[in-house]
Amino acid sequence: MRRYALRRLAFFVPVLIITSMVTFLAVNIVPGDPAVIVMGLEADRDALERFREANGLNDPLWKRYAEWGAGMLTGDPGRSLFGGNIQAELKARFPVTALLMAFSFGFTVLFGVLFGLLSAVFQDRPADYFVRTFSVFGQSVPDFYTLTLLLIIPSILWRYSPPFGWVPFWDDPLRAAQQVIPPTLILSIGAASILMRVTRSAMLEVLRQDYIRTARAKGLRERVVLQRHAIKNAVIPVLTVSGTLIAALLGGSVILEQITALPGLGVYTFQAVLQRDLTVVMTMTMYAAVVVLTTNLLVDLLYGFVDPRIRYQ
Amino acid sequence: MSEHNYWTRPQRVSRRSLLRGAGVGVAGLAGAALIGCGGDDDEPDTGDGGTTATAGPGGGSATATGSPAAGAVKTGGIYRDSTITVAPHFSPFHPGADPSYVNTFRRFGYYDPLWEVRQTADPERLIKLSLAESVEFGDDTTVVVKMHEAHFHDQPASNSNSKVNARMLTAEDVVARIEYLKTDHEASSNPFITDQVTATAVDDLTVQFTMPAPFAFFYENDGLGNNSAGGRNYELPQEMLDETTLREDIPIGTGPYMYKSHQLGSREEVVKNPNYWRPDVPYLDGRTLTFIADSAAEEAAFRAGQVEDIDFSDLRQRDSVVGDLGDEVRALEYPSTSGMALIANVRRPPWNDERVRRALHRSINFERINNVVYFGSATPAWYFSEARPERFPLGREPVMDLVGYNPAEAKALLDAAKSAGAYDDREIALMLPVEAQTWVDSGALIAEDMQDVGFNVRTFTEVRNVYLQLAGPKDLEDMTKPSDFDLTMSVFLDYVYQKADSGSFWNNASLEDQEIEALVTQIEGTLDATERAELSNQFETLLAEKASNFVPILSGTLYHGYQSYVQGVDHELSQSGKGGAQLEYWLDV
Repeated sequence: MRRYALRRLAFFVPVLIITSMVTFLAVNIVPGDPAVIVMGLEADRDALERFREANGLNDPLWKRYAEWGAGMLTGDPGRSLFGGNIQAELKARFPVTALLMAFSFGFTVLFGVLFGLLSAVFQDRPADYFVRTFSVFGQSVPDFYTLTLLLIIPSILWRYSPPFGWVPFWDDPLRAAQQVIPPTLILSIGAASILMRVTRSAMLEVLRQDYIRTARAKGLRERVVLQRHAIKNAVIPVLTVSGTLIAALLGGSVILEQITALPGLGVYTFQAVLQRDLTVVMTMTMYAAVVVLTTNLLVDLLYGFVDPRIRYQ
Repeated sequence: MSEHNYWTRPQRVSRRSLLRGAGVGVAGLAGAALIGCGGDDDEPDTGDGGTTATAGPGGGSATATGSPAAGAVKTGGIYRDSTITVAPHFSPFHPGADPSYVNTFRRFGYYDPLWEVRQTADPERLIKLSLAESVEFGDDTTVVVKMHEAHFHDQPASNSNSKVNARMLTAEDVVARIEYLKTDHEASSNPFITDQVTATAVDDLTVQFTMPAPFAFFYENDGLGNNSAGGRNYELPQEMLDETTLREDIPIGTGPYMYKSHQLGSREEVVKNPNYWRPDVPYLDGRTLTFIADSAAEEAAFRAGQVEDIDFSDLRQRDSVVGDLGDEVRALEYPSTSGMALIANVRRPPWNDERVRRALHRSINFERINNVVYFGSATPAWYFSEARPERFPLGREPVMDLVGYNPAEAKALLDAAKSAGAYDDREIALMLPVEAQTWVDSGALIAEDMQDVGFNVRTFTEVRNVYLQLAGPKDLEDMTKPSDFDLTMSVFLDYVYQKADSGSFWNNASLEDQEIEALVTQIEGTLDATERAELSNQFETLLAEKASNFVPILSGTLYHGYQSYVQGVDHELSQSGKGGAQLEYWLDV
């Protein structure tokens, strides 16, 4: 397994290089002059030219790419075009997004797996219909819409809204929890809906297998049949989907951070894209790529952990 | 030696434990989260003050229309404000995430400006002294400013700040700032400073500014820097005047509030400067600024009493909030200092023909756009906004016979132009920026109006990044916007840029008319306010007579709300609605 993991890690390098090249080209060929965006509409031509010169925007693409790449390798991606220190921003914002992801992934797995199992076990009964209906709702209604309702309705009915203005989790866990719960609940609805359906179908598939019938025939209690024989074997596809959901949750957090004013990496990236802040967009894309690759690797390694029959060649 | 099978292998236990632990962890997480769903106990912090004090100069004057009578001044308390953008650094001179971030510094008052400008046409009140104790106009090219004795913030040491803590602001600091703005090219995008102003220190507290020629806007419009990034006359210790320090250090100035803390991208806190040169202000103990970008979220925060004021996104939001909260809030409305305009590319036919341009002016049904898009709340715009009386706005009314809605005349003019070959009926592209629904909706109606009189119009939507490029000098194909244009910017100064073909976004707004340009030059050099008012009105009339290619459409109305316990805000002074650089307001709780 170690060799497999090392081989996969080595595979990261070409993937990241290609990702960085594609991203770099993409952000540089779309129309729009970052200098105009940063300096303002009324900036005169000389000021714009000075800004471009100072920030290397006049340099050839290969040179800019090489300089940025060298910075990334040394752990210092440099400065935002607006002057902010990217490293400092990442350091400040990472805990917010990490907490958001932890909560939303927790809720997703909790609701997705739990309700998916219930739906399968109680197939074609009211609980199953409820879960399936909720799943369709969760996949159909946009996150930002549900979240806006979740913010505005309590403020109208009860004059309550989650506290705005981020305070680090360990400084005030209660406040942080209040800030994080609404977006993570909403963020998890869509993802959990997908996971519910996958869990349900995987579980139904397993429940129709001969060994389940055998287990029941030999007199095992239903709880034991489910826990020991069914769930274990249904978990592989669930694990696969859970891994891909991490990337989806990461993407979904962008808008939700914006709405709930959480100063995470998502909103930082979102603003950078709007403002053509090239260095930030590049850096954040690379970090997102690393997260996705790492998640996929972890999922692959977990296969063997969950199902010992799987061998890494 | 025991023999292991699948179910008895050591990892069986660890795997189960892990899975079970993960389940318990997730459940615990959910439980902890649910516990966190309790009510929010954020209330306005009255601090340990709350004592009644004598109103300082200007305290309680000119409060909001319809507001309860302001009671006695109360000191103390923390004012909680929200912002749609958070500064990535504390430099007042470098571009931020958005030009409006500079307002953060104005509102928080880290840095005192040398002087502020009254929003009024009254020549006697054009300059409100801030750090300047007196301003003497020598000859037409010299200004001598004597400053108050003010000290920089007594802040904990941080990088270069340890060298400047609490020392006095001197004339040398002002001179150094001017020189810095001339040399740090990224900081200064104002050619006026670079080219024209020379500052010299007369003594410790006196600075003399010299210009090669009279320039009216130096005096009346924050002359040391009028551009999109805001004023340039904030005073900082000269030791901080390098790009790295400005961008990385905490802010040190002479302002009424001192930096306390900030959470990057989320929240800033300031506290009252105990050594402020005006001992009677500010009344508050401090302020917080919280990043809330979403309009619905800001409304929720306002309804829940987490912020003291709100910029309503539109009339419906205001009516909803005021209807629900009643006397607990105070709503204000005031004309926007910006508006919506069309710009036609005068370097490209048919817009180089005056008849076609006038047909455009005459074709637009302002009233319909106002009623359909703005629910009747906007006002027809002309070059200078009514909200900026120091610009001596003429208004559209006196030139209605030249540019007012008259579709019959528009059609006749266009037919004449077509007959003369000035317009070959080609398709005209009208770009609609997607940033605001009102711009898109207005643009659609404008296109309909134009088609009704005989223009062949095609509309297309575009995003900001792209239209900035399309609207570059000589690149604009046909016409843009409708979108926001800032009436607080001096159109005179815009003309300066346009004349120089400098690459300004507004380049295409120039008629490139020698008579108008000569008049602009004359206005710039006229220091007498009365005389300048007359010339300014001539300028606007001339633009109407020549059917300018810059076509102001409508100016919106801004809606603002305060919690009713906010007292003393002077809205005459600052129509931004958030108090601007005001210090004499308080929380009556």
